[in-house]
Amino acid sequence: MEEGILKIEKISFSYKNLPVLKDISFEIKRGEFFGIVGPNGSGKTTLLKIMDGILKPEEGEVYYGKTTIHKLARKEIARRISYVPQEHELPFAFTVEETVLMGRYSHLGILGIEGKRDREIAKIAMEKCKVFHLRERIVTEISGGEKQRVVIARALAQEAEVMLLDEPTAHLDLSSAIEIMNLLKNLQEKEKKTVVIASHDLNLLSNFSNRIMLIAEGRIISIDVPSRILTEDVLKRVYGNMLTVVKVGNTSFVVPKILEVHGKNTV
Amino acid sequence: MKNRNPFTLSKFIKVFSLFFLLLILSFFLSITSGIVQIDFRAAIVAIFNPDESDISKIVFYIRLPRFLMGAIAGWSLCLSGAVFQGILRNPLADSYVLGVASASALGAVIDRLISLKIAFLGFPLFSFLFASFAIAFVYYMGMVNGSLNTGRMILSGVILGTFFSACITFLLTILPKKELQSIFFWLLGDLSTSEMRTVLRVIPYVLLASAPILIISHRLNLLSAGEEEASALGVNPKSTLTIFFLLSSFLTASIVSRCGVIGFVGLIIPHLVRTSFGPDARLLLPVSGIAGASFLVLSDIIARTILSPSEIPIGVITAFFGAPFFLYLLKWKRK
Repeated sequence: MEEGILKIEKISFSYKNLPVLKDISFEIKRGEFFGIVGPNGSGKTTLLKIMDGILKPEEGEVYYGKTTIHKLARKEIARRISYVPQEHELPFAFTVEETVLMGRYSHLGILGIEGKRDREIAKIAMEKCKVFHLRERIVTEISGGEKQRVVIARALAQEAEVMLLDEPTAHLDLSSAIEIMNLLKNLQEKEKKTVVIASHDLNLLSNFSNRIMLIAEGRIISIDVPSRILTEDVLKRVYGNMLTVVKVGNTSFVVPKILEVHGKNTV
Repeated sequence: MKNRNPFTLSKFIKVFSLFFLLLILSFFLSITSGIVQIDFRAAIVAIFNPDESDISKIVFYIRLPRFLMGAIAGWSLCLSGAVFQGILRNPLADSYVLGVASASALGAVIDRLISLKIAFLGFPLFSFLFASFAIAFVYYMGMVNGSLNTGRMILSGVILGTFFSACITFLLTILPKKELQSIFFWLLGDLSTSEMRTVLRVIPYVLLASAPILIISHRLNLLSAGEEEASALGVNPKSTLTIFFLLSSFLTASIVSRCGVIGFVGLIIPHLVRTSFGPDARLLLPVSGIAGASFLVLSDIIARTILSPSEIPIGVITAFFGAPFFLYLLKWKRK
């Protein structure tokens, strides 16, 4: 687990002169479950897109192993890194199976036609994500949790070692969210995937991640194991004096501090 | 459609051959019907063994080029229509609604006026430039924070179309009367003046633009998920979009500069193919093309027989079908 697979070096990025990321450097280790946590607008999505080479940073470099990401063709990146965006635009009525097969694109020949092996890989990906029974359904007609699993299956069909996911649980109810997280944990442990998740849900991520990076306003606040991120001192630097940490069994949770209302303690 | 299997070559061949048979059928219908009814056997004899008879001349110099032009126009308009819908991620995208057809027509009028056509071996230079500009323009106008807004796109397309139509009207008013009528009829969408010479000139352009579109058609599937997802899956979105923009504009321009504006074909046919066989571009594009070829040939038969001996421009027929169909899709088929 010690070997680095993705190295982010001195990345800066701005949208229309508005700085989003400022001089960010860190390293993702092969096979780890890495959480990127921060408030909305802290630059998580931008960072993921830069890590996948979708956006080009103004300064700095992203390395996959020893190769600079921007020297690789899109197909070559797609065989190494998969990316699951937060929103999915699906204007046409593709079936679940057709959608998952699109993950094979970077492995196809010039005519872009899937062979037997590609269909087999897509089938296995669907089974792992428990969407095989939905394969003939139209993607626009299934539930949010199912759709998320389909897109993860598509990423899995890419056979990329690193999976980047942007808020994979944002629009889901709690039980679907936990199902997705368990699925991803499983992929990390059994399939040896390197999983990187950006989310604002600190509690959910800290229960699954090996390490967490806390960012705010485009800067890294801390990178550490969850137990050392979940402390009032660290959280104060991002969220102000509003959160406290409680322990239930072996698990730590972040909860809001009970506020003083009308001079009286409400609880 | 339930139980839809993913794309395979054999599925493609099956569906494509089915529509190819339809095209052959419309071929026979096309060469036999018209002001002079020609029976089937005489038509066959005229094609394979032409002589100096009137029937032979009608078949060879009028009906055959007209069938070919109709089929080529239908193929090109439906293929480019399906590409427009893919890159704009919108089943309502159509060269007519998006102003691409008017842009292309204005360019074609300019091409005619300065006779560049002859200089460039029939290459519709301005028509192509204007069409590419129009499609890039609506894409740019419709893009809001990385996703395409249908309303903005269609509105800017309609405005652009109106503007270009005004430009055409302006050009027409300063033209001598003699040329006016031929250009006016041509603008409405007209296959009646097709000659073998023109047909043979269009064919290489259409082949040249269609082949790469079909070869890279799978990328259109990925692009319909948006530029960023396409990028993550291994497609270079900028260069791919540019290729599709240019090739589909070129196809449209090749046809508009010969046959005028034939609206809505590129909307109706791809839509029907998509609802019957699914949205996979690898099937959708070629099947829309071949089905569109038959559709336009059949529409042309209606155009020239329904008020016989006078003719209705084919653009009028397709607009009669297409406009209500578009409104139906807009109101009842969108989510």
